[in-house]
Amino acid sequence: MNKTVLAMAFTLILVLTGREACLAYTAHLAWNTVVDARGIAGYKVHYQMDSAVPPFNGTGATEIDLPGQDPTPNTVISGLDPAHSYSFAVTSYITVNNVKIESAYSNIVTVPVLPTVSITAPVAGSKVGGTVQVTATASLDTVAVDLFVNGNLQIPSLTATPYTYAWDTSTLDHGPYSLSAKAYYSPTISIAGESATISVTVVKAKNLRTEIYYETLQQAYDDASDSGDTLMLWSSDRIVENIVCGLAKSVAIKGGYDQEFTTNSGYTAFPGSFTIGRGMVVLDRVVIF
Amino acid sequence: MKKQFLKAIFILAAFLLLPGFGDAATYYVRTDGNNNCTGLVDQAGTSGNCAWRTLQYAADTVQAGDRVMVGNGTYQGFMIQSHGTAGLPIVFKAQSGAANITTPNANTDDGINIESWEGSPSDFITVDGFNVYSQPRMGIRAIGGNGIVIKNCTSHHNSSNGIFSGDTPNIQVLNNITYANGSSSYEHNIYISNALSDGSVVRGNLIYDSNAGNGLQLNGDWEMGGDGFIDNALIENNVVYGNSKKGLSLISIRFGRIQNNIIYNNGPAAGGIHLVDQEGKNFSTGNVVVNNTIDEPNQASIRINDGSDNNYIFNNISVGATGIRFEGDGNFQSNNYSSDDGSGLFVNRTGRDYHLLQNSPAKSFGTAIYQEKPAPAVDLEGNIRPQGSGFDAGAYEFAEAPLPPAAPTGLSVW
Repeated sequence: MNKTVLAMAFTLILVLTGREACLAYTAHLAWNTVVDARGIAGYKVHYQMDSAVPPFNGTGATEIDLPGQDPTPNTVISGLDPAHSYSFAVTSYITVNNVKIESAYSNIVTVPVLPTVSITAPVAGSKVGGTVQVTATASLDTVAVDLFVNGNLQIPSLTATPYTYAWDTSTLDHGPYSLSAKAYYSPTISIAGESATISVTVVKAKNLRTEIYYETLQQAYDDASDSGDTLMLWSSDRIVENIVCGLAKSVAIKGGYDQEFTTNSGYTAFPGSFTIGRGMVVLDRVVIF
Repeated sequence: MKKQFLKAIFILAAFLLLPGFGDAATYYVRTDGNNNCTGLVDQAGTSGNCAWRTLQYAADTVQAGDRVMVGNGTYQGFMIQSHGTAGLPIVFKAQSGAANITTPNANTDDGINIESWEGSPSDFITVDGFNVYSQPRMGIRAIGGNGIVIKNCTSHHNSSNGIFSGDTPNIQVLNNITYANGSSSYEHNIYISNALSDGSVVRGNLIYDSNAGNGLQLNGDWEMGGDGFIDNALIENNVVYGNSKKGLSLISIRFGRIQNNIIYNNGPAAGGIHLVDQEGKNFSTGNVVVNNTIDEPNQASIRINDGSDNNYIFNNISVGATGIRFEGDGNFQSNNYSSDDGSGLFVNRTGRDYHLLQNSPAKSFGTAIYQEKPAPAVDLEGNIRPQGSGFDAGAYEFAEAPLPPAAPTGLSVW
């Protein structure tokens, strides 16, 4: 009963918020130094959530005291919730008889609720190979999207929908890869909403009969039956392996397949060696060099 | 051989553990202690590790660097004749401000008596936080020691002085309350006397309602020997009022500074501040009287007698019909604000709040320096001078609301 109630409550919260759970973000602030003959004793950073109306002293307001005179004043604020807007301002102060005399606010900078973004293709957990179309879907307040593989920027500033990128896995090692995206609300500010990270696995071959994916062609060959299994390879892929076919089995290795392994009109390259010791191997649309 | 060696080690260790050897000790005195105790632990008892019972036992035992912490309660006074050093003073401290001395020590008629004796001056003794009252002679008395400190004490209703010193170089009398002293004699709440008392500091005391004498008197007193002058005294941040005669009676003092004092409603006598000679000799000279607020309707606010010269009187507020009175020539004055009735000057003269009004004419009436003598850098409350366009007259600098600094510009967030 309790579990049921909790599950219902959790579902209700998801419906009410209307946004996916997002990662906290970090804001970097910098401003011009203030010169005062009495000596600037420090700065205060003021910010508050969901309101740009000063003074920032209501609910969700925070004040950070930065004593000392920094010739290049700056600070970093982490743990900000992307589902809320934040307005920032800075004051300078002097100290007279141990009392801080504070300036008016600087210009106020507001960071809005950040755009939401998610990776919609490929599907999380899928096996991929060859050239993969990676697609992100972002909220309407997005002006640009960056796509990342293993945290490394692949293509910056996709500014038009669909936010898609042809990810060439042919030169990559087999194995798991993470995909993520950032969605920007401004073309000049690096604060962005971040997607959840999904994981996919780059594979090199698929058995047509069993529909099992293999990370290496050698694994696919070794696992094939001796009754004429067909091993399919992606078009333009590079099989960087030294293949040894030494079993008494009959196997067809067909390259040049499309993303769905439905038709093969291209070629697959073998830059390594290819040795046939026993049995029969039919090679179709592969280039060995 | 081995036994002899161990015995030697034991004797050495016992010697090192003797009180007063090596590191200074902290002793305790309580009304439920006992002089058979070690005095080293702040607890009641009759022997062993517990507090002493009498201040006199502590005074007879302590050595340089020792501290005596005194619990609340009522005690007989004490006389101390040992001495500390500049780096290792002997300190008697009332722990919680309720250690009362109501009967004199066993040797003199004073509550606390710091008494040098021939060949052994009682130097560097500190007395802190005692309430001393109703003594047959003086509340606290110090004779002949250098570097004595009397602070945070209350001394009242004593027959003679509340606090008295004679020939005490560099004595510091700090943040004490003295009142209603001199009940049976023409004596003063605080009296620092004789020519060896050079470098005396009297700061932050509340001195009021003496029965017959002055609030504070310094007297170089040539009749008592030496050069007959007290040199380089500093008298500051005191509040002195309602005393029977003068507020500050300064006899035969040279090169002193009298600053940031509030003095009101004393006398009638010679003046709120009186710079004068002793029996026609040793005229007070070379003193700076600056930034005091003096409100004396019954006498001169500042009076300098004929013969006292080269005194510098500036930045003071003088309220009263008599005002500042020079009886002779050779003194210097500037930027003193004088008023018969003090109207428009203070926040509440009747309530004795002598802070300046926003539009007080004493604001910025003073000068930063006069005849190469600087005004004090801070006021009675420690506020920096100046805060407006110039130095204010009087003991208080008006706390101008300082302009805030400029707001930062160019805030960027990324």
